[in-house]
Amino acid sequence: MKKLYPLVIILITFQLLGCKSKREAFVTIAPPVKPFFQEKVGLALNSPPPMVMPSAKTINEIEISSQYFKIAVSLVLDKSGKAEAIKNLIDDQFATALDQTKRFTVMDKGTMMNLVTNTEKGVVYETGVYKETKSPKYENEPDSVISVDEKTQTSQPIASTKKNVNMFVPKKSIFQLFGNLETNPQAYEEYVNEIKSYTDGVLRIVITGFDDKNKKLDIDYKISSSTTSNYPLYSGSGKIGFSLEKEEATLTLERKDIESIVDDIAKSFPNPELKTYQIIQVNGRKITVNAGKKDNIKTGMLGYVIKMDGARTSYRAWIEVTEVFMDAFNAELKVEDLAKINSNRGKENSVTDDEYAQYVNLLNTIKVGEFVKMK
Amino acid sequence: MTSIKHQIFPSFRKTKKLWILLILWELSCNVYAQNYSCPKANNAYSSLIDIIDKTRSLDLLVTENVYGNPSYETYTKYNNRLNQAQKMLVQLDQIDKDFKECADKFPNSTNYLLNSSISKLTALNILFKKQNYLNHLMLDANTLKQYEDLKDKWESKERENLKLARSQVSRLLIGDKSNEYLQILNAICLFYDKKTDKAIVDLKTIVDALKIEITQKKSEAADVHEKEKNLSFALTWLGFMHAEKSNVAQASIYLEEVNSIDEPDSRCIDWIDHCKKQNKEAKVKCCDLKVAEITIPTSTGNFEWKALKFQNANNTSEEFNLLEVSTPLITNQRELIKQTTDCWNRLVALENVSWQLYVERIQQTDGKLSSDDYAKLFVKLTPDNKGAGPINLLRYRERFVSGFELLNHLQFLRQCWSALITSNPEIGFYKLYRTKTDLGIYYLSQNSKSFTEFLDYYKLNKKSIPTQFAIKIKESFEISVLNELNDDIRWCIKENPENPMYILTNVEVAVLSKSSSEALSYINEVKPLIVKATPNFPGYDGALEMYKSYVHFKMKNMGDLKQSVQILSAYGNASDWNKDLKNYIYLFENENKVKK
Repeated sequence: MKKLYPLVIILITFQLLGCKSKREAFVTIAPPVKPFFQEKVGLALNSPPPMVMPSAKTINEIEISSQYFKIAVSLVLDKSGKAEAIKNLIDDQFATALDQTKRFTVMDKGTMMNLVTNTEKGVVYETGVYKETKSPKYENEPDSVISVDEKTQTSQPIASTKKNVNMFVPKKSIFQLFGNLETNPQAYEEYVNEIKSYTDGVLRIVITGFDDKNKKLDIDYKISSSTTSNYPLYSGSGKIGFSLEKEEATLTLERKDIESIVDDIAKSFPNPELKTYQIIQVNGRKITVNAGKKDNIKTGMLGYVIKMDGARTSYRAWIEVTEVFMDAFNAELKVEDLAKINSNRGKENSVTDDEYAQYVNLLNTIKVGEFVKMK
Repeated sequence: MTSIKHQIFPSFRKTKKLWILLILWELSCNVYAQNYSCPKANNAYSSLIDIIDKTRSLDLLVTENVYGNPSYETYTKYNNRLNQAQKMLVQLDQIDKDFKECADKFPNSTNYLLNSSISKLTALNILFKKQNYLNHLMLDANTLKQYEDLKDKWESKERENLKLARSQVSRLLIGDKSNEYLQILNAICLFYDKKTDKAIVDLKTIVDALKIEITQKKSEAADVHEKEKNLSFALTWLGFMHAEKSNVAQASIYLEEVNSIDEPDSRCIDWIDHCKKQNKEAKVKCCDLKVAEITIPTSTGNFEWKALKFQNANNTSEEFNLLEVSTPLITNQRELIKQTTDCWNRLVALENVSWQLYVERIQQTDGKLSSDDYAKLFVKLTPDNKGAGPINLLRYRERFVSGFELLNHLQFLRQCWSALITSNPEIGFYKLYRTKTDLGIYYLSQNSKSFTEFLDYYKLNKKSIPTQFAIKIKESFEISVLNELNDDIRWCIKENPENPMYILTNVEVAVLSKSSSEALSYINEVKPLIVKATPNFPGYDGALEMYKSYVHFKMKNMGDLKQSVQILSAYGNASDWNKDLKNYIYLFENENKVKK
């Protein structure tokens, strides 16, 4: 038995060791790494695109009908009582001579006659279109215009006429409209005033003398401003020669005499092609310009504030001379009436109230140093 | 004289800034100067321009989203933004009223009616994004009523404004059919009327026509500024509409086109630049690029929370019992975020216990473990050792209780997140958190044996755990979440492919669910993306290295693991993990000393 002790001890030890070998520590396969938790997750707050404002029509220049002085020659008055046959030639030839100077925009005599004769009884001339404006009698027939029977002097509506169609309207004569201009100064003024509304000035010519022996006419002439009647823009007197071929019954005026007078007139208006002036002071709607008497500036003359951008000249406002000094003149900045602008543009291109407000606002932007050209 | 001069102009230098401001103000007044015959319209016009420019200040990137757990400061930021928007809406109402009055006074001028439409559409720009402004009010019980009132008010205002704007624009279009600007406004109305496809088709037609006109006019050397301005307006909205339809690529093409126009509208360019900049930042910082309206689920149901107990219900005697407690779901996202993070902390800690004990023993005994040492460790359960004694089994029991509790908690959270996702399918942030939850469940299910194995050995009063309990418990661990987990993360990445948070989560999925080589290959693939996207956020790069080290750890790849530990020492937020890794390395290196 004793011999077996070592074997038992070995077995026990082996058993013990065997038991020990069965003990094995447990660890989890791989402890996970904690996921990433972002501390601050943001949020982008966006709005849809902004509204784009429509482009407002920015008006920074005015429209002008003529760069040059618009002039009409009124019917000549014969105060001598002897030149009845000649007087109708004089205004025509003066108009031609004025036109040839290229200093003026001259209203054609025919157009002028139309204007005057058709203004009566609510019919006006508008950009080549005759249309009714106010005729109580034919209120309900807006497409009708008045036809005036020259013999009976009665008005008749023209049937089935269309608006905006240039049509012939029988006219009254100047005499029928205004009476005898020579003997009725008031009638003459009314007649001239009618022309003025379409021009910057009117050249009035009066025959004051008739020298049949020397074949000379004495005339007085003056250009009155259409905007102010207080001051003539130019005045003078002169003689015009004429010849009468009795055999051929032709009457001829000396063109040289007329051209000489017209030349003086043209020279008395500052030429916009030659001279540009500058504003030296602005006070509200009043400006002062560095040109005066010595530059032939006269009260009542018209001009423009201009902007020169390379070869292009834009017109920013029109001015009317109010006071003239030796080296400077004052003028008023002006904008045409909305109604007048629109009557020139026609309904489709008419200026809206807002656009007109921009025209007016343009006057507030005129500054010292800007350029001025006379009309 | 000098002194008088100084008295009159005492400090021009000092007031220089004021003068400059005055001049700038004067200039800006001139820029906006419009001359309307209706005096009210002048003020209304400049106020409208002012508000259009100010709406930019409403576009911002808030660093804490409302889906998360915004701080008080952030909450105030959301509130201030809402107040600012409300103020603008009131002003826009007044502007609209002024323009309408003018339109009545001057019926021949279409400008007033047009500006009235523009003021309504500007208000719609705010009202359309109402969830942007109101979401935060819904997350607080105290402001819930305010949220509901404002939502109703804004919705009705939105309907009214759209109806009136549409009718005004239509009226204007009747008088000016070929006006491209009005056509664009009409398309915008269609968009707000939820007819986006029609709006896109209309805008595309306008854009094509404008392009032809611009080309023709340019060849005639005519002024095309107005046309180009309208083209930029149409293209910007076209881009925005495509973006709203999640057609980002097409949106980018249109927005890029605006930049190629010679004279585009400056507001369009500013908006595009701002969006580009903010989106770039948002891709990194935000999960959701679109702000969806939050809907809190009303009927959420309950979760059956299971727990294996070792005493009877009255705690009077020791016996097995599997309790199931019906627990209502939580919809408070702040609480859910907190609990999800907490679960993961508990899981990491639980799984580290066995390692810590082992390392500690080896360190203290230099690998010469005695019976006493083993008594302090988890001893592997084998049929031979039959559980290695009651103390060991009790240790396993504790581990099981914690693990089972954790599994139940994660499943509970999963159901809560799912309820939120069902009500808010567009919010990626919720899906992200469900992914994090699923990762925990996935880990537990993959290691279920380490928790449930003890059930086969443990006895209470010499009685084994009843089979029906054991089966139920084991079934609880056999939950499969991998498919849904992958679906969620794929959806998120599709919505915001460059978001580093989503990329990292996908790495987490790969590291836990894929082979080590696949995981490492994916990590290497996305590393350049993460580095590029987050140059100023080393945390992301550090996180990527953590996952890499985890793969090396699983593979027991000592060389690479040590290298990772060295790299991670530079990242402060990886310090806990790095400390654990050092222990693991110690264990791997000293394991052979242990005499088994």
